[in-house]
Amino acid sequence: MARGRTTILENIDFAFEAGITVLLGPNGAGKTTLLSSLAGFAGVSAGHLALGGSDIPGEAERRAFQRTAGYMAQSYRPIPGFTAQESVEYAGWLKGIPSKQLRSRSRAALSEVGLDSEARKKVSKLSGGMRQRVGLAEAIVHDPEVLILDEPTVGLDLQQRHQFRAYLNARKATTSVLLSTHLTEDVSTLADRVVILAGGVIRFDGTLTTLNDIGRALPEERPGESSIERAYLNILGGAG
Amino acid sequence: MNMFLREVRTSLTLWTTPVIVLAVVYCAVIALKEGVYLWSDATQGLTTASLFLNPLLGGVTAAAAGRRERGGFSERIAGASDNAWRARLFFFAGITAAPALAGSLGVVAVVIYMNANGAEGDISWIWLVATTAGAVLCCAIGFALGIVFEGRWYVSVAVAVVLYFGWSLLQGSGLPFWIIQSFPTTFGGSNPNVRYIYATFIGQIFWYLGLAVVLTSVAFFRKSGVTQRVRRVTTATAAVAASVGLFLIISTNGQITTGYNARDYDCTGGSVELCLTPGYDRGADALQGAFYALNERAAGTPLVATKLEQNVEGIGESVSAGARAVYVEDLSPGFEGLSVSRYVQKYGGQVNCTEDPDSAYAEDIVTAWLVGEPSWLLGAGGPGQDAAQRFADSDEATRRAWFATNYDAYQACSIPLAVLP
Repeated sequence: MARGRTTILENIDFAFEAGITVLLGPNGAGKTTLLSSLAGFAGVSAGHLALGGSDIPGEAERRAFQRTAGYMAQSYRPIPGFTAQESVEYAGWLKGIPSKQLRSRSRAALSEVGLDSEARKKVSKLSGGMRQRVGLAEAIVHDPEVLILDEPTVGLDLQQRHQFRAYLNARKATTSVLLSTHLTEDVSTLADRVVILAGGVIRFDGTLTTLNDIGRALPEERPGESSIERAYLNILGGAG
Repeated sequence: MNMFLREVRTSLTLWTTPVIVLAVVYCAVIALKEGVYLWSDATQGLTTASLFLNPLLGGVTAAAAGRRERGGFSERIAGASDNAWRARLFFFAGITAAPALAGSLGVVAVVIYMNANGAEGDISWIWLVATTAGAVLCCAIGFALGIVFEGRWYVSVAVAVVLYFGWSLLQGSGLPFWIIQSFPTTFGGSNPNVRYIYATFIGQIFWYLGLAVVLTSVAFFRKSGVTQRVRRVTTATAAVAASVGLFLIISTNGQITTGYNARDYDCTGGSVELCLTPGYDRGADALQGAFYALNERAAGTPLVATKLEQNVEGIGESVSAGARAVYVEDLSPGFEGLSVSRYVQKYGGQVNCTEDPDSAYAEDIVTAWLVGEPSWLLGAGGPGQDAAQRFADSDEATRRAWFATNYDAYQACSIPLAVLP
């Protein structure tokens, strides 16, 4: 898969599983490209995606997948002039929620992310953390089976991060969650499965326990370093 | 509908509404001659508004589209499973709805104003539709560029500048008129004595709207995931429509009017029967007075006017038997002097002044007196100055008697300067 002349992802074979899958990788590893491509975004100039044996770019499959998937971009960009409620309704409309249900479903989504009281405020007037939650409400308004989140904890303060992690842990019972992050803390508190991506290639795909075991088996090189960090750096080192 | 209304409510073009209403009404009213309520003038004024409203619309639309792009619009559409093309369409319709409503309100206000003042003639709806289509194209240009350039601040300014100055540059370019008329600004002169060329307007409507659909299609479907088939069919259909429109514009060379005398007159009685196109009656008294004065000077000669019919520029004389043509210009201040002057030039002997410069000068001296401006040639210098001064100094009765006697020579343009009284 390429953007312009640059190959970004290569031979990625990836299956969504129940629970939370955390995608780790350095800057430029291709995390955002992978997530946005899975969410159905265009912008790649070569390559193809397959889902369940069918090419996703096929219109029917693409639409069917997108109905089941919710996506939150790394940096939420509000629609100018829209309130939080309107933004979430709009997202729901684009996911095929019937008009009569838009209001109630968007209310429910906003309530789920703790933004009941901000529903009528313009998104542009909300804080960065609240905006991210509006983005999350947009991603979940159609009750997706797969939730794809690109660096969702960036820009959140400590309390918001805790709340967000608690929310995802509660949600994973009904939704497959795939999220990218830079923070090993996210990995340790959220991940059921960890995928490490570097140079457009998957370097590790396994459980958190396995990753921890790899880390524990390695000698501690830096004081205070967690086993996840050791394992991650070791895998990246091996890649490099 | 709810999503559409939401787009209208949050559209950047909302603020242009009062500007458009005021501009439309102002341009229509300012185009009217004082005390004359002609739909031809009002229509011309209404269409003139597009000269600066189109750049405004293009610029604001580019800004609106870019602003929405900065809000991740394309990404949202790309991730949509449903309503992708409706989202684009509603957004574009939301951008254009407020200006369209404002333009309509302006036209309604002008219709009320004109009817309240007993307007004459008919509004040219097809011209207004073509003008509106041009405005839609300007919006489409702004929309497409706003999306493609994703909200860079200079895009909206550049669109407005190009649309504003582009038309002016084309006007002075010397290019074939159909090229100029292909620009999305339908502008042209009009008066009650023209016939509209519908083929040009229909061509413009097809051309503008077809091109607008092509541009918006490209913008709509960019990163949208809309199927290739829909994209191809829409774009191809619009391209064909645009081509047909362009062909029509070329076939008429972009002309929107042609001279035409409907021979629909309101006539006033008196020794000079004056027949004017309805709406021009405000100038009848002054014009009649000016011709009474001419008739007194030219008494006893065929130059005396008895029946005059307003005629049309550019189509030659088209009057009923026994009548002569009179041009009333735009009833601008002093128009009656100009009308008499053109009458004397047309029916007097100046057309025969092709050989003898002295006679031509003498002819000018006499003509100036006939139209009531005997001082025109005084102080101009040249060999005829003495004769001009002598003619001006002579008494009126002498001049009239001389003219009656020498009418044939005047008509033939063979008056030696020495013969003047």
